[in-house]
Amino acid sequence: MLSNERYNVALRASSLITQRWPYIEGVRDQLVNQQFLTQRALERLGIYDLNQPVAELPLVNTILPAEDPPPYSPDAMPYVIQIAGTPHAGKTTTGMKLSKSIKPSLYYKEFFPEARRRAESSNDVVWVTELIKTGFNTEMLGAMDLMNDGIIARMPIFQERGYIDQVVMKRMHFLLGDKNYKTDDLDLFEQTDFFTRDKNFC
Amino acid sequence: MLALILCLAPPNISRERGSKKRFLNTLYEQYLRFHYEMINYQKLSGNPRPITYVCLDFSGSPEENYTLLKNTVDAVLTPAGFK
Repeated sequence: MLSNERYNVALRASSLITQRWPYIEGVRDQLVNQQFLTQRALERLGIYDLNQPVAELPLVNTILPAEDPPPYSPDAMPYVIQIAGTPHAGKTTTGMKLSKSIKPSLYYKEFFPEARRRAESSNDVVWVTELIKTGFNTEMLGAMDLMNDGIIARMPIFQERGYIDQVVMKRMHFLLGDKNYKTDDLDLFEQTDFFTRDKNFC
Repeated sequence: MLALILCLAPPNISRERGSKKRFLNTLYEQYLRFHYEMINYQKLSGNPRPITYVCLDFSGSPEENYTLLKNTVDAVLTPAGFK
């Protein structure tokens, strides 16, 4: 488990990223330019609990319902399913096949603007598997905000565009959805010179 | 209403399927750690998990993966009144 201190460091990191690099593409470039964040850097950031052996993690076929879901309203917004995962897992192939078998409530859209139009004109399920291949830009950010202000709405996934950075960025924005998120601690984290202006950081 | 479905295949499976990406092992580990944190979301963040989270083993055949995902989507959508 992350200690409170380390968790707070991660929160500060997430807030700092957003303030320093408001556009996600810019953030990604920052990460890519650094090749990737090493395990040492992650540890220094306190992002991951490095004492937790990966092999012991329960992995497969876990379904955890939302513990605090927003109240359902048919007039509210579409149900958004975001598919993520490792390379060549079969997300695209399976998703395309599934989209053909579950109609009309499930839509598969390769490009996000179309999914956005669909989302705005219906209350159906929006299948955003391929969003992860289109990257993340300001248009998407706005569109996602239209859909929901939840965690996923601010959680870009950069499939095909990076390695560790896609997970790191996911986590950063994931953390931004924390209800206890505060900006008061920014100065403290600023002092750590996040993201390698200090080349020895990673 | 949001759901995140994480489809994972170990690095050796990804390679067998043609992935030539570097750092597959590390990437996989990062996904596992993310998975760990989603499982322990409330313990780590102090807040209830606001989304439905699913992790699937996608190391099987395409047919197995399809069945797995279909059943999962059915399970995820049913409480929301879409099925």
